[in-house]
Amino acid sequence: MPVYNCIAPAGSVSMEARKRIAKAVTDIHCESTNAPRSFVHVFFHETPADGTNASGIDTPHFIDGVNRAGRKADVVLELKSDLRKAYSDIADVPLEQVGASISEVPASWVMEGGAILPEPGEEGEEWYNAAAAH
Amino acid sequence: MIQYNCIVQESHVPESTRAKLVTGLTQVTANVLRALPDDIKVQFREIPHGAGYRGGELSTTSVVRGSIPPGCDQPVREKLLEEICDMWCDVTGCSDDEIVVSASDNDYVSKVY
Repeated sequence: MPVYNCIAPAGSVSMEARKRIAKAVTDIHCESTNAPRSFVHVFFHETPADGTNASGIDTPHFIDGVNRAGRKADVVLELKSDLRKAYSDIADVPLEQVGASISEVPASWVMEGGAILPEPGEEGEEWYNAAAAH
Repeated sequence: MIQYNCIVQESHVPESTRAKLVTGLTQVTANVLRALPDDIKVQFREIPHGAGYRGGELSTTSVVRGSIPPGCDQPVREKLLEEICDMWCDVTGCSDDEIVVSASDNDYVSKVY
C-alpha cells in the first residue's frame, strides 16, 4: 500500500511509458509521503481500444489510487495533481484526458510484508529499517 | 456477503492454482469470521506480464482486497489477514513480500479525493 491502478485504452500506453509512469508514481508518492519505495504498487489495466468501458470512469485514462487513511487533505490533493501531470506528460495525452481519484483505507486493515501497516506518521525508525530490507 | 477481489499477475498465479486459492480463502474466512462458505465470493483479475510494478520495478505482487461484515475486532481482523497471507504463500509459493491483503468493513465509506 499504496496501490495505484492505471487504466487506459488498449495499446495506448507503451511498455516503455508504463515503466516510466510506474517510476514517476513511485517517486511522487514517496516524496509526498515519505513512504518506502518498496511499498508502492502500480498496476496497468486496459479498457477496449474503442473507448468504451464498463467501469464508470469518464476520462480515457484514469489513475485509481488507494492509500492509507490519515493524511491531510491538501497533501493528498497535491499528490493526485502531481500524479495526473506526470502521467499526462509521459503517456503524451492531454491532462484533461487523465482522471484520478485517491481513496483511503485504515492502515490497520492492511497487511503487507507479513505485518499490519502502521498509521501515517506512526511508522517509526524500526519500521522504516524493516521496510528497507524488503 | 464477503467479497475478495484479487489482482494476480499472469504466469505468477496460474489458472491451475486459483481453485485452491478460492478454497483457501473460503476456509480461512469461514473459520476466522464464522461465516457461511456460500456467503464468500472470490473474483480474480489477471494482469499481463509487464503490467505490475513495485517500487518502480517490475513485480510479481498480488493484491487481495477483502470486504467483510462491519464490527470485526482488530485481533480477529489481524488473524484473518495473517491466515490469508500464509495460505496464499503456501499455495502460490510466493513470499510475504509479494502479497498485499486488506479486509475492509463492507459499510466503510472512504474519503475520496
